[in-house]
Amino acid sequence: MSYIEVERATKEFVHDKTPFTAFENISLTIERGEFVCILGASGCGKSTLLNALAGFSPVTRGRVTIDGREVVEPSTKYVTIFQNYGLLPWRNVQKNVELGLENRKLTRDERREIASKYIDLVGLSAFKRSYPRQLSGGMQQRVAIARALAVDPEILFMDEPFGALDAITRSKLQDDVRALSQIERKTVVFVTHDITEAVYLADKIVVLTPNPGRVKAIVPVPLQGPRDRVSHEFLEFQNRIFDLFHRAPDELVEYMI
Amino acid sequence: MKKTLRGVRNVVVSFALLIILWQAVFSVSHFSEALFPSPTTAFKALLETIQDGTLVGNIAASLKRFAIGYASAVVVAVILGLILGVLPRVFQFVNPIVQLLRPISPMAWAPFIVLWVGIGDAPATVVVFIAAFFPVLLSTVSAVVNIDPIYFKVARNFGVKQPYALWKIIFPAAFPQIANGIHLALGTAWVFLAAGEMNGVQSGLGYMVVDARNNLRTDVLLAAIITIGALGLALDGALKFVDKRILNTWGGVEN
Repeated sequence: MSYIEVERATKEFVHDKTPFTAFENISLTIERGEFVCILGASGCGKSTLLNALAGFSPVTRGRVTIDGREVVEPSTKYVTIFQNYGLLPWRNVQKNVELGLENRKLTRDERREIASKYIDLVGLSAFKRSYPRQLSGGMQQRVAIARALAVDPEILFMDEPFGALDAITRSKLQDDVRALSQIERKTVVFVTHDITEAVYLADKIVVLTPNPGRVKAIVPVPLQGPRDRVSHEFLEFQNRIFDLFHRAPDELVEYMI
Repeated sequence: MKKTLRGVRNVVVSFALLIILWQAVFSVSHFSEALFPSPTTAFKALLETIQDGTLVGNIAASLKRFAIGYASAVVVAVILGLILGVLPRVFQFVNPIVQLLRPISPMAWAPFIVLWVGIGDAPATVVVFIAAFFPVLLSTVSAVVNIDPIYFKVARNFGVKQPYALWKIIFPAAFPQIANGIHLALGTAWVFLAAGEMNGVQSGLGYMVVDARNNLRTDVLLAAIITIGALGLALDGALKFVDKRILNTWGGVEN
């Protein structure tokens, strides 16, 4: 049995009295410690799928289980990182990172110490007293990552976390997230529409097609060791993923797992 | 600092223009001094009421009623607004009542207010309360309803539960818009303070207006009117200053 299991999951909404299917019949499994990217164009229901995994908005049919237990609500065991950071603008960096620790049985000093450790880890030691608006987008996202890691979750759900950042900042944060997920031994489920990003980060890529969202292919990434965005193998594999978006479903068998 | 100086200069220049205009209209008009006091007469009346102590006494009485009525309205309306904001199903039923009561001038209640709470400080305080209550209540509810859903997601994800979420997440997230409502209500409440003091009470700036009218002292009347305007302006400025300070530490708003 896998760590995260999604079995024939479907999500339907009723919007303005018209029913709408965000995704349909999605089945996939994720192992502990795996870095999985969910890749697809806008409207393929990838964020909705992540919301279902994270317990914000459970599936309407099928089942989502984490560690054998059905997901019905959010938990600090699996924390979501949003594209627009979700920092609390009235709290400084230190207090933002302490948010998830406040309902635990910790003294104020213990809380401060844990938060400081993760702020140091994301390289923002000098900005503990700063407020989110005083930081750049990339720094704000680092704060959100520190806040997530501070509660020591098993899984990080990341919803297009670098979508609002410039290319240089984005590639730096990609390196950091990959490194952090390995150091901290987290399972990461990362939603993106950026093929290069998915190929660079993932152990396994779940390709979704839109209207409604369906799994087109689940592709393990064969690249070993540190990845080079301009190496021959990298570009070749990236092209294969790119091709997937332009092929009919019956041609995909060779990539299916 | 430079900005403040420029602000002061603008105020001085604009008030000087107003007084010049006033004097000019007085000079060309055929009204007697008793019907349309000149700036000098009004200023003399102002000095007179300062010297005999009536102005200060009336200001103190007015400010006390205003402070109690306005502060209690803000506290009650914000708390009620936060609760109704997170319970939209309840608000559905409360809202029609609010919309029915809101357009009624607090002064329309004046006869009942005197019957129910008697005379003295209470009626004007209640009028101020009513005037401030509805704008603050409605802006608080709409502030809570319009909170970016991401804050609720973050709260759920990090296990911030009610009632903690109310003051850790909901109140601060809604605060900038609530502050806006509190600020708007200040002006409205101040307008109704003077009106509220025209019934059932023997002190305050509103009473001063009525009393001057009854004594045919248009110069004192005008002195009272100017004082009401000046104090309203000063209160607004003070609240603006406090707002800015709080919103700065709130971190949500740029200067």
